[in-house]
Amino acid sequence: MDLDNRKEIPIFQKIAKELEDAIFLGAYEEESQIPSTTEISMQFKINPATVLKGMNLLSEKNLIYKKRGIGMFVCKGARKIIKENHSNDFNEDFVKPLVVEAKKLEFENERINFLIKKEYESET
Amino acid sequence: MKLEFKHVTKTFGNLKALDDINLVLEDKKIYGILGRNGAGKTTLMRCLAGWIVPDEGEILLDGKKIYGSDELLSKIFFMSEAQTWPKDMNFIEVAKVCKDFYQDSFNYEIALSYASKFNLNTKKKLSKLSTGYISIYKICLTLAMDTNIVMYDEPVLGLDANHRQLFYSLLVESYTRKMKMILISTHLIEEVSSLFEEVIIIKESKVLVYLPSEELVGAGWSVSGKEEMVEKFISDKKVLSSNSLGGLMTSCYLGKKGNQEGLQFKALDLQHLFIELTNSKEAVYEN
Repeated sequence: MDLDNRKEIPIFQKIAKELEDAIFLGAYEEESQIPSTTEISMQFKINPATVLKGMNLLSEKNLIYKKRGIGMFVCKGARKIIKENHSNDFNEDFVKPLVVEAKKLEFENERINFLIKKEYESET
Repeated sequence: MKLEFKHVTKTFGNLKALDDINLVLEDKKIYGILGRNGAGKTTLMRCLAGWIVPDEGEILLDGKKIYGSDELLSKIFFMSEAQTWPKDMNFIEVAKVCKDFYQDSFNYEIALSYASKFNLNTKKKLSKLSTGYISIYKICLTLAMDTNIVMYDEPVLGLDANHRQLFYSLLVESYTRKMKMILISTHLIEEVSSLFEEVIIIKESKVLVYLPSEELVGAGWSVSGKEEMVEKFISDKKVLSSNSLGGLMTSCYLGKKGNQEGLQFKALDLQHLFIELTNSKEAVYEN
C-alpha cells in the first residue's frame, strides 16, 4: 500500500481509499480478515485514531464489519458495492475533467469521441 | 486524566520563555509540540516534568497541582534533549535503575528488545556512544515507559532516516501497548505529522495554534498565476507570504481553496503551514 500524496485530503480518507482498493483488487477477500488498526498504524506511522476513523468510513459503507474480539472482516458483496460506487462516480471523476480540459483546448465533440474510441480499441 | 496549564509564565533573567500559557490536554492522545528554536517548547516540557517551577500559574493533573506531589510527578516521564543519565553507565545498568525506580511503569524486557532492534551496544558506556546512539539509548528507555504522560524532546536528533522510521513505528507500538498521553517536540515536522492527533504551535513564548491536526489539512493554500489576478484574489484573504518570479506571483494564505480559472491552487502541508505561520510577524491564525 502506498498512500495518496495529495495534501488537501485528510489521512483517514486516504486510508479508507487504500483499503477499499485492496478489497476491490481482491487482495482482501470477502469474509476474510483485514489488518488491525495497530498493524496499519505501525506500517504507515499514522495515529491509530486516524486509522480507526478510516475504518469507520468503510463500516458505514457496509464494506467491512467487526467480529467481536477478533477484528475487522470484509463483508460479503463488498466488491459489488465498490464497483457500483465507482460506476456512479465515473462521470464526476473522469468524464467531467476530461471534457473541461478538452474545452480549454477547443476540441470539437467529434474529436473527443474519436480519441476515446481509439484509446478504447487499443486498450482491448 | 486531564492535564491543565493555567497562566503558566516562566522568565529566565530578562527573557520570558513562557508567557501566560493556557492549555487543556486530554488523556491517551499524541500531541505534537512545534515551534522554532527558542520558542519555549523545552521550557514547557521541563515545567511539566517538574524540573523547573513556573514563576506564575499552575500545572494541574486531574485538578491537582503537580508541584510538591511526588505521586503526580511519577506519572510523568520526560526524555530530555540534554544529557541526564550518568555518563559511565551502560544501557543495561540504566534500564535496571529505571526498573527499580519506575517499577511496573517500566518494561525492562521491551527496553532491551528495542535496543536490539536499533543494534545498540547495551554494554557500551554512554560516554562512548555517538550522537545518534545517545538518542537511541534515550529513545529505547522512553519507549519502554508506561507512565500516564510521556514526553519526547527532539527524539530523533542525529538519527538516520531508517532509524527515524523505526522509531515512529515503535512509538505507535508503545502507544497502543498501553494508551498514554504522548507529547513530542520536533523540527522534522513532515515525516511525523501523521502521528499527531493534536498540534500545538508555540511562537515567541505563547500558544499560537492548538488544533486537531485534521483541521489543519487544507487550512492553508498557495495560489499562483498572473500578478494582477493573484493580487485581486488575495485582496480579502489572510495572506502569509507572497513572492514574484518574473510575471508569476505566488501567495500563501489561510482559508479555502479558490476555483478561479487561470489560477493554480496547492494545499500547504503542516510543515509548510508551520513555516509560513512562524515566519510572519503578525500571528494571524484564529480558531
